[in-house]
Amino acid sequence: MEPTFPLLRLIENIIIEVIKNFPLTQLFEFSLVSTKTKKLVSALELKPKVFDIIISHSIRVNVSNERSDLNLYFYKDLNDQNVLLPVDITLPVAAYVGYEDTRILASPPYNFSDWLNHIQSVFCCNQSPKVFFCQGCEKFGIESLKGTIGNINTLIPIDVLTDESIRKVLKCFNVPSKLHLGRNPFEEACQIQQIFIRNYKRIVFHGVYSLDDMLLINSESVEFHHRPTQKQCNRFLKHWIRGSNPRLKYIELAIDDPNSVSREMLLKGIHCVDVAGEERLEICRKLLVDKFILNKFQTLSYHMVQIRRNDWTPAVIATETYENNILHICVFAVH
Amino acid sequence: MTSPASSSEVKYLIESSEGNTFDVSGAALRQSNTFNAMFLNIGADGPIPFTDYNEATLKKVFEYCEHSVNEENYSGPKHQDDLSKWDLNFFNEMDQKMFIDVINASNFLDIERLTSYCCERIARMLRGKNTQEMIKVITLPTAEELEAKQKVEEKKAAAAKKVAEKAAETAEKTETLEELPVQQLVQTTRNKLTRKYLSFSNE
Repeated sequence: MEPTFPLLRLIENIIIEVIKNFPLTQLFEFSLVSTKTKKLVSALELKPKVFDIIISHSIRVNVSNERSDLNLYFYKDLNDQNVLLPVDITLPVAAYVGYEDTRILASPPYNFSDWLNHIQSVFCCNQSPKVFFCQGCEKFGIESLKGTIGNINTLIPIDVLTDESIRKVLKCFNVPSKLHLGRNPFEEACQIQQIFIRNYKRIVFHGVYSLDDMLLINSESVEFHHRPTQKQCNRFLKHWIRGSNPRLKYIELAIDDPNSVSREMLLKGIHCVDVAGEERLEICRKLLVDKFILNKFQTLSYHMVQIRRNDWTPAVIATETYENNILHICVFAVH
Repeated sequence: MTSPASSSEVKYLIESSEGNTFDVSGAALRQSNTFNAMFLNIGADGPIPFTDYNEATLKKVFEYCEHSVNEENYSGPKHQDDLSKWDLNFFNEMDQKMFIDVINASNFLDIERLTSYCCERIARMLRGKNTQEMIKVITLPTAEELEAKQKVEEKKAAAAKKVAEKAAETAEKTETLEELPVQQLVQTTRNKLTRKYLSFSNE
C-alpha cells in the first residue's frame, strides 16, 4: 500500500515550499487535485517563459521555464481512420502528459478551452501564446481555434500548409505581436502588402519581396530571408534615411550576389562613419532591440558604420561577409 | 535565562509546551531566523518560550541545528541524494507525526536548511505521481467520505442539541424551585392550603 501523507493539512507556506520542488508536469497534475491545490500552484506565480500551442493532427501545448517543461497533448488518441474528420473542440477531451502517454482527465471533464484556461491560470501565463499552425490543423476549424485561443503573441503558419489555409489563419488571427511567414500565400501583390503594413512588433518573412514591399513595412523589427540585390538594399537604406518606415528599428537581410558583394556598393552614396572599439560596445548597450541581437554583435566580428537619418535618429549598419559572396546586413536605430 | 557554557559560547534555556526547559547552544539557536529576529540583539531574560511545540519536537529540531553548526553556510536547498548518512538517519528515525511536528516547528523557527530538507523529502514522496495517485497519497477525503462525515456531524449536532435542550429544561425547573426563599415557599404552601380549606368550608 502507498504511504500516505496529509500534505494539505500542513501550513500553506510549507505546502508552497514543498511544491516548489515539483517539475512543471507534476505541478500541473497537482493543480488538478482540488480547488485548493489549484490556488497553491497559482500562488507560485511561475510566469513561464515559453507558452506555445502547436496545432497539427493533434494539439500540443508546451509550457516551460528555466527548470523544466510541460508538454500536454490533446486529440492524440484519434485513430488513423478519423484523423481527417472535423473535430468539435468544444467537447470534453483528455490530456496526455509528455512522452509517457499518461492520460489525464479533469473532474468535471474539461474541453480544450477549459484546459487552456486552467494552464494559463495555474501557471500565471500573462503573455499570450505563440501558436504554430501545421499540417492537419484545418480539422479543428480555424475560427473555432480563434474563439478558443483568443489573442496570440506570435503567429507561425508553417510552410506545409496550403495557401488557402495560411490565408485563413492570417485572416482569423490578424493582430499578433509577431508573425513568421514562410512564403507569400497570396496571388495579388497588394495582398501581401496588406500584411506588411500591419504594425507587428516583429515580422519574419521567407518569401520574395520587392523594394515597394520593403518600403511598406510598418513593423519594429524585420527579418527578410529572401536575398535582395545590393542595389535594392542600397536604395532601401537611402529611403529609410530620408524617412520611410518610421516605426522600423531593426532589419536583418542578406545579399547573395555571385558577382561578389561589397560593403562599398551597399553604402554607396550614404554618409557614414566607422564605429569601433568602446564606441561599438556602447552602441550595442544602447540598443533597444532583442537581447539576442545585442549578444550577436558583441560576439561576432561585424563591421559597423554609423549613419544619421534625416530626422536626426542615429542608426548603425552592421555587415559581415561570408565566403565573399554573402553580405549579412543588420540595420538598427540607436536611441 | 542564559547560562555560560564557555567563555566563547552561550547556552540558552528553551521552554516547551509542557513547561519543561532544556538548554541549546547559541550557535545552534542562531540558525533560527525567528530567534535572531526576536532575541539575538535584546537577549533573553529567562527561558525562551517556544510553548507551541512539545519538548520532543524542539529537542529534535535543535539536535539538527547542533549537528549542522559546523556545516558551511546554507546556500539553497540540497538534493536528498546529497544528504549525509547522519541527515538520512535523522529523517528516517522519525515517525510521520514527529516529522510533521518538526516541519511545523522548523517553519516557525525559520530554520531554512531543515525546512527545505523536510519539504524536499515530502516532494520526493510525491515525485512521479499522477493526479489520482497524489489524491491517494495526500489522503484527500473522497466525496462519499465527505458525505458520510457530514451525516455523522449532523447526527452529533442533533444529539447535542437534544441534550442541551433537556439540560436547559431541567435547569429551568430546578431554578424556579431554588430561586424561591424558604419563607416564601412556606407562605405559598400555606396560601394554597387556606384556599383549599376555604373551598371545602363553602361547600
